[in-house]
Amino acid sequence: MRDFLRINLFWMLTAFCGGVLIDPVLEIRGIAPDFSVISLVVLALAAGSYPATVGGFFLGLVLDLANPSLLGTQALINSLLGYGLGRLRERLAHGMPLVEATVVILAVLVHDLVFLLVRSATGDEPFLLLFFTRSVPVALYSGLVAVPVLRLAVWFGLLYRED
Amino acid sequence: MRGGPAGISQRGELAVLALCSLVSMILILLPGEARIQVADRLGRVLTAPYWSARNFLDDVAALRGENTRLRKELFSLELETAAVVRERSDRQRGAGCALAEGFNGVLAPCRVVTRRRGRFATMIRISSMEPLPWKSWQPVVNRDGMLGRIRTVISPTEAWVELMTAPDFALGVEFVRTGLLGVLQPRGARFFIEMVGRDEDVRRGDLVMTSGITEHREDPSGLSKGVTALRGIPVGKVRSVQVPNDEVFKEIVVDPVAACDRNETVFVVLPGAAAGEPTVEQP
Repeated sequence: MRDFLRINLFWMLTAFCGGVLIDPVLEIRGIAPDFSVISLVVLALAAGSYPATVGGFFLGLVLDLANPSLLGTQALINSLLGYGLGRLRERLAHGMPLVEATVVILAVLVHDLVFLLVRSATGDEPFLLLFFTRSVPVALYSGLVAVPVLRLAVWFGLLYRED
Repeated sequence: MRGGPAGISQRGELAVLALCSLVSMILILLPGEARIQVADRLGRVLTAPYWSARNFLDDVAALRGENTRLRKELFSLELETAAVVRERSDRQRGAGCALAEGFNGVLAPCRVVTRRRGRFATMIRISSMEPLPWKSWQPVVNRDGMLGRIRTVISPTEAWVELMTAPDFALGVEFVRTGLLGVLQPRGARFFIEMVGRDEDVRRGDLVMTSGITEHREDPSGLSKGVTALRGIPVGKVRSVQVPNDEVFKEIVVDPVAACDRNETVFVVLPGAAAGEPTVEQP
């Protein structure tokens, strides 16, 4: 139960503090790390598919509330992403920052790919332009920032405990 | 989850995923108006407490900033009004045209971040809201009047201030009613005005302000340092006046009008365009 609380506290704090406090500081020309995806990766690697699916759903729902016209979209994407990341957990080489960064980069890219596709389908958003000018830099930046966050999670004993 | 709902089967995980996906799809497929209403209801539960708290804190910060600005404006106006009144009274008592009527500086709002009490000094550390061109010996005041002077500049936004209660503090002062000059010095917990002749007209309740006259003092390195403080900053009110039989000067005790016992905005008095910068002289 203690681990359950610690893991949930950590990923929620990462998502909340990262999005509210750290994002504005790290922002470079409108490009900032996506702490919601980083926190979802932390949750998935720490706890597995089931918690990551539920956590992703609620995280997405909260994000959706900022844009009610697409209500449910991020909840769906993050649920699927959480499930996929959780399933991936057992197949990853543990403790390698490059692997962790790559997972975060791919997760951000997949998230943004689906989200922008949905958004472009409902409006006339320039999908490719946004993907290459926003999503790719955000993914790379998130991968960079995720390394210390995941190291912190390891340091707290939340990841790779069976190792 | 480890330590929590662990041990769920793959089928269970898929069921959870299907449920989350189903709920998400229902939300996505809601008609436009209903979707907005559902988002509104969910927002009241999930995000409204955060936004309420954040808006409240933003409002508090904005109010504090506004309050600081208003206090600065008000205090500046009060000092300027007092300067005009003083100019008139100076003229009435024939003080001469060369006497500066008083405040024409700029007030820079700062907050107190540290208070240090030692055997030989009572100091505060202040932090300004923006970088300031401050220098040692510039006066520091609060809404009521003189608090002390900048002793050490740490950075463009931080400085140590020597309060009037520091044992070696001395300040050139003037009685507002008569224009009489003296030197204010702390002794223990009380403030005395010295160098006022025994036959001079000083009454209980007389207001005392900075005189704008340079005060010299020796520092350990043997240098004589002086500062031209602005005239007209309120300092205190005369509590008692005594004339000891064996003394040439009156014994005047003053209650300071300002104190640093409350957490509030303080102001550094920066010289205005015509005020002349505080000088540090070396003989």
